[in-house]
Parts: sequence; C-alpha cells; structure tokens
Amino acid sequence: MALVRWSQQRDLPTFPSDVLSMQREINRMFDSFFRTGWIEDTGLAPAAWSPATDIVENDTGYVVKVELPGMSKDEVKITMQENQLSIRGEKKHEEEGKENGYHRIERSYGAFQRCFALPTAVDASKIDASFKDGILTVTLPRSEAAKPKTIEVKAR
Amino acid sequence: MTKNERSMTRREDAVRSFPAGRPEEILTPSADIVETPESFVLMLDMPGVTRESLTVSMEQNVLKVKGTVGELPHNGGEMLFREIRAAGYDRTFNIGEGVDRDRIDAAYEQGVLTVTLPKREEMKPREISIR
Repeated sequence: MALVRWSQQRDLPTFPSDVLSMQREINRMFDSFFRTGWIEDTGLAPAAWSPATDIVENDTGYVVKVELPGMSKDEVKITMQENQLSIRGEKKHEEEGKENGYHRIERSYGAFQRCFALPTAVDASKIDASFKDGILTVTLPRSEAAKPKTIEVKAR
Repeated sequence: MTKNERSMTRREDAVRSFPAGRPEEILTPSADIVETPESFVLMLDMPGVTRESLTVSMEQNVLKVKGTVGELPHNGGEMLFREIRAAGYDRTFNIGEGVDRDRIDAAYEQGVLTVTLPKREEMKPREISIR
C-alpha cells in the first residue's frame, strides 16, 4: 500500500477551492501510482498544496522541475541530505488581494513541501537551482562513485 | 526470480510504458480575481509560458488569454516522475460594461499573468458630500 501525504486541508475541506485542490491531489495520487511506479517519499509536515513536479534522469544526473508560479527564490528552500531531496516553501497571498478582498481564489497559497529519494547518490556540492517564469529547475549531477562504469572482461 | 528482481523489472516496465517527451494538454489556468477601487485585477498561474506565445485579446465582452509552454529541457533523459501536464493554457472571461476597454493592461512575471481591467470613471466608488 502506498503512503499518502497527510494534508490538513484534505481532512477539513471547505467549498469550493479546496474541493478543486482535493480533486487535483487525488488525480495526482492515481497518476503517480499507475503511471510512474515511483512512490514519493512523504514527509509528515502538513502541506496546504503540492506543486507539480517532473523528474528526469539523464546521462549526467537528475533534473527536477517544479511549477511554482508567483514565487521568488527567497521563498523556496532546497535541501539535500544523503540522497533525499527536499523542496519547501510558502506562498503568501498577494498584497492587493489582502487589502481589497477577492472575488475568486483558485490559485494555491500556503506552505508546501516535497521530498524525493533519488535512486543514486548525487554530488551535493554541484547542485544548481534556477528560477524562470515560475518554474524551478534543480540540476543534480550524479556523484563520481555512482556513475556507470564499463568493466572490461579480460581473456585469460 | 528473486523478489528484488521482480520489483526491479516492474519498475523498468513502468518507466518504459510511460510517455516520454513533453506534455500535450491545454489547461485552464487557475485564476484569482481581486477588485480594487480603481480596477479589477486578474492573476493567472501560467508557469513556463513563453512571452512570444502569450496573447491577451478582447473581443466584444470576452477577454481571452492564451499561451504555450516552452520546451522543458529534459535533454533526452528518461522521465522518473511526471506531474507537469500543461503544454499550454487557454481561458476566457466575460467582462462587464464597467471596464474601460481601452486601458486594459497585461504583465507576465514569475509565471503569473496579471491583467488589470480599469473601471470606467462612472463605476468607481465615489463619496458624496453632504450639504
């Protein structure tokens, strides 16, 4: 059985924006279970939302992309411990909305955290992260020890 | 086959069967709508959209926003985990008579499209002085 991220919001839904995010969350659970065969390593931290993430493995290592529209680099914290990548942050309401009130809120706000256990070790000193048009890209080169090596078979 | 080998094979199959490359869906972007004394402000989450593809148009009472997501540089690798679904975004809004169509302004920053729809003079809140 797959572990399911505990979410306060899911347990206490308020209509209607939370129902939308709940639906997204359930779609995501089904997607990741049936399509990727990869189960996210869930933290126990309560999260208000969960930004969509792609992980690609290429010759040099891993590329992680996270959709974080409207967030700046100071609002996101990336940590790497052993092979565990953690990306967390908090999206705050816009000043305009706070002052004047909303007619409609569909975008996600609040704290989020995503944790992934990468299949092989990465070189923590060479991790690079950049933000462009609301997409966070984290590049994690595989550590030397984890790179594939060809072993020559000697004839005797 | 040991139990370990079986689970590895299964994982490999899952990876292979799952579509590589870029997503193809056109999604409806999430929007917030705020009303200030001067205008209505629409904020739409459209991460990764290229500036060239982004269009905001107004025809009669319909405001249309559209944009295509640029190539996500996956460098031909293998997808291990995939949740990003948008290849583009498309959404229309019905706009009331109170908006001054000639002064609509749009800006794209950090993946968020902000459309400011100024109110017509006569729609702005006014304080009426008491004689």
